[in-house]
Amino acid sequence: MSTPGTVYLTEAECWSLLNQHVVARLAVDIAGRPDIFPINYVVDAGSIVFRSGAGTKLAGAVLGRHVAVEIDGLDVDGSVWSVVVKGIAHEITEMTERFEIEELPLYPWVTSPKPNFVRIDPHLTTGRRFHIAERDPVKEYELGLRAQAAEAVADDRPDDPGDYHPGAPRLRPG
Amino acid sequence: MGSPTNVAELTERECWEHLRDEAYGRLAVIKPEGPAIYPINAVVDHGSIVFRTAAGGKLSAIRADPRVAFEVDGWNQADDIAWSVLVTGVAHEVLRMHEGAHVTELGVTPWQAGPKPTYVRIDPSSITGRKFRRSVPTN
Repeated sequence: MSTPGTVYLTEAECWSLLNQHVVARLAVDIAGRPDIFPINYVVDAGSIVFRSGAGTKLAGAVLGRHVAVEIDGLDVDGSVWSVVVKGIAHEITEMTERFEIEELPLYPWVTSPKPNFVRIDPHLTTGRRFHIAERDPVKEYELGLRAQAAEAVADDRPDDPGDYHPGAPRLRPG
Repeated sequence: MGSPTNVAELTERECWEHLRDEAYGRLAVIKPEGPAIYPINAVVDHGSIVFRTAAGGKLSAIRADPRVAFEVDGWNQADDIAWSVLVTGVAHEVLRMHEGAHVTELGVTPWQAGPKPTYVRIDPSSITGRKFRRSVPTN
C-alpha cells in the first residue's frame, strides 16, 4: 500500500543512513511479547553489530532469533525518514572475527560491562521518507467513521447475493 | 572506569512526563515472521497511549496479537543526559462512538500524509524508563 507523499528509500539509501547514525532501537520477541531496546550499533560488512551484556534479558532474546532494528530522523528540510532492518541475530564467537570487531568504533553509551558482540545479518532492509503533513483530525475522523459504518453495513449483508435485487431499497450510511 | 554503571531508573511519574513531552516513538509488534517496529506519532490520554493508523501491517498485526511495546527516547543537550521509556501493554482499536469523539480532540496528528482513520489505544501493563549520562570513549 502506498501513501501519498511517501517516498520509499532504496537499499543503498537505507545503508547510507545506517552508516551515518549510532543509535537504533532493537525490537525483539521475548516469550511472544514484543520488547524494544535502544542500542549503540555500527555497520560492518553489510550487517549491524552491537554489544550486549552476557546473560542479560536482551542476550537471551536475540541470539539465533529474528529481530528488527529501526533508526529514524528529522532532516533540516522538514522531512522525516525511517529505516528498518530485519534479520537474524547471532553472537560473534570466532576469535578472528572478534578481533576485527573490537577495532570497530563501537562505543556503548552505558558503562555496564557488555562483553558480547552480536551481529544481525539482514534479510530485509526498508526505508521511507516523507514531509510532515498538514492535518484536520476531526474531519478525518468523521470520514473514518463513515468508512467504518459502510464496512459494518457490508458485513450485515446476507451471504447469498440472490437476496439483493437491483431495485430493492438498500441501507446506506449517511 | 569508575562506577560499574551510569544508568538510573526513572520513576513512573518521570516516565509519563517524558511520554507527554515526546509524541514521537516506536511501536513493536510480533508478526508470524518475527518482530516488527514502526515509528508512530502518539499522545498520552488518561494513562494510556493513543495513535492513529491506516489499514496495513500494524493494524493486522495488532488484530492478530494485541500485545505491543512502545518506546520513546531522547537526549537532553544541556546536561548530556540520554533517556528512554518503554511501555508494554495491549492495543485495541477505538471503535465506540463516544470514545472516538473524545480521541479526535487529543490532537494526535501523524506526520505522514494519507488517511489514518483508525485510532488505537494502548493500555499499559508496564512502564519503565532509564536515564544516563553518556560515557565518552577514552582512547
